[in-house]
Amino acid sequence: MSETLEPTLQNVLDQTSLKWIFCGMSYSCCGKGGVGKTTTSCSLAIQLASVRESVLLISTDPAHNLSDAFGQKFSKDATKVNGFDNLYAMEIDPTSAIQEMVEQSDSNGMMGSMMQDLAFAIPGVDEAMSFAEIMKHVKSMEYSVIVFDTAPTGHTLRFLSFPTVLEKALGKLSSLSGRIGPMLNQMTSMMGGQADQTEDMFSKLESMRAVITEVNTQFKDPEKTTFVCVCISEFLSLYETERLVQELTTYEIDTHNIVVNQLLFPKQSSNCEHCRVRQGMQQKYLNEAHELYDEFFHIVQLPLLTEEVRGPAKLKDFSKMLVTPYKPAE
Amino acid sequence: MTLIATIFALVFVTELISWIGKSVLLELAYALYLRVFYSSKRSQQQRLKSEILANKKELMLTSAQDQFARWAKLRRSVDKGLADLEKLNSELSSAKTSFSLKFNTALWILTAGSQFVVGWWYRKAAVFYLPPGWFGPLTWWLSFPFAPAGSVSCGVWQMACRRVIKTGERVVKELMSGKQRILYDRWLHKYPLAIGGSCLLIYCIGSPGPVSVPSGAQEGPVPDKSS
Repeated sequence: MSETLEPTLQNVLDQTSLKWIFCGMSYSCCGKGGVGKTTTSCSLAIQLASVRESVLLISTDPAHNLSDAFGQKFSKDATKVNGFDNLYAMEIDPTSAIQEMVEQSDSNGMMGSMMQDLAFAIPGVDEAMSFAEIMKHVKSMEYSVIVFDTAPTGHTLRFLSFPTVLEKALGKLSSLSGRIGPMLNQMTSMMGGQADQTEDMFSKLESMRAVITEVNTQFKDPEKTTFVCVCISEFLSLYETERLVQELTTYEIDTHNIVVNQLLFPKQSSNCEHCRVRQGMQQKYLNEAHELYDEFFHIVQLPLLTEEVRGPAKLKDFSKMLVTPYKPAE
Repeated sequence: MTLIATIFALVFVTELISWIGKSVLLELAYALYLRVFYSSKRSQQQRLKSEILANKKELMLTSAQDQFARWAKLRRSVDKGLADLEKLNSELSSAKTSFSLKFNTALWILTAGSQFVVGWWYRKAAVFYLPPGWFGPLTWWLSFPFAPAGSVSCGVWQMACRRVIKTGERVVKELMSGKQRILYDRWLHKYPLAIGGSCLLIYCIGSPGPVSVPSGAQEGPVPDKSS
């Protein structure tokens, strides 16, 4: 038990059954502000590309961070990344996905808008739905592994991993359709609407349910999905990571890797006082993290480089550190 | 005589229970029930509670910044304890719901139900016979609905007992709070029926011999009623 798990992401590379990999933090608090999430997910995707058949990297961040990292424009269609044979990337704006759905249902007239109200009355449902849609869409594209750069937020996680609540509601609605459907049909036809609208609406609800259920089964399967937590060696970040780990455990989503990013390793000869103080603090929290997570987690340490990690070549170099632990220069 | 006593006892028990209060009785009985059947669960709950409190106290004393690992571990144990406690509580409360259902049913059968059954079963029996001519036209009402004429029926007897016991309860209460004067007024002006009931009660308890049921008088009217 006391034996420490090796500090690399090799285990992710070796687990060939994996289909979905999430990188990130749960809350917007410090996850957004550059703990190196994108760098980590890009590096992981690069490493995966060397062992798996084809890899897709997805970001749902509206800030286009993938384009930034690779120095190449990506759109919402999967595009091959320059310099790699089997690595693809895409950037999806989740709000636009919702917009599409709304527009689609708007064209259905009265019933459509009613359904939309119904479906979006619960907070997080829309996000969960768009997320599920993305996953469904991507799943049909036949990649051997898919890396999500942006992790779903707490709400979404809850919906995706506890679909029973949503399922119940939707199931009730669809059973209702059997009873009041014909009546509604008559009503609408009497009012001069199209007769098959209600049926359309209920079948849509039914398909929604199917999507969520399927995503859920994938989510809870540790053979298929894993979550890589990314943090920096600071109090708040560690705190959020602990919360994320607890949350994932309650949602029964597998997680056994923590990447600690932006560690400072000043040279012995360096006389930078800031660096020394900061390194001391980082080491303190790193020790705490080791004490807390050593039993069940691979803790990967990544250094803070003196340059920005941008472009395929630099990312490639950086990604090697996920597999072979970084040794600070003497 | 036994019918008189039985009905009185039944009414007395009912009134006693309603005086003590059903909820109080339920609480007492539930506490007993818990002690007998759920003693392990209860002790577990107590232990869990004290454990959580201790852990929480320790958590407050631990600085998250200085000893993060220790702090996080404590928090995990607190969270886990709370979840366990929640589960245990819901288990116990569901046990309580089912128990209170059973207990209330039993109480009902013991009091209102059995009163009803006794009243129905002996609907044609006379509890006791009145001395003829005492109540005039009211005699008919006293044997309402099925008891032989000139007698007191179970239903009326139950009612009389209830009134007497209620009045007695009030007397006791008001005596205890020292308001005899008010009591006296009320007693005279407001409860003629209760007085009647008490008279009957005293009458039949005091002189059971002469009014006891003549043999075979259960059917038909009392012979000397018309004279």
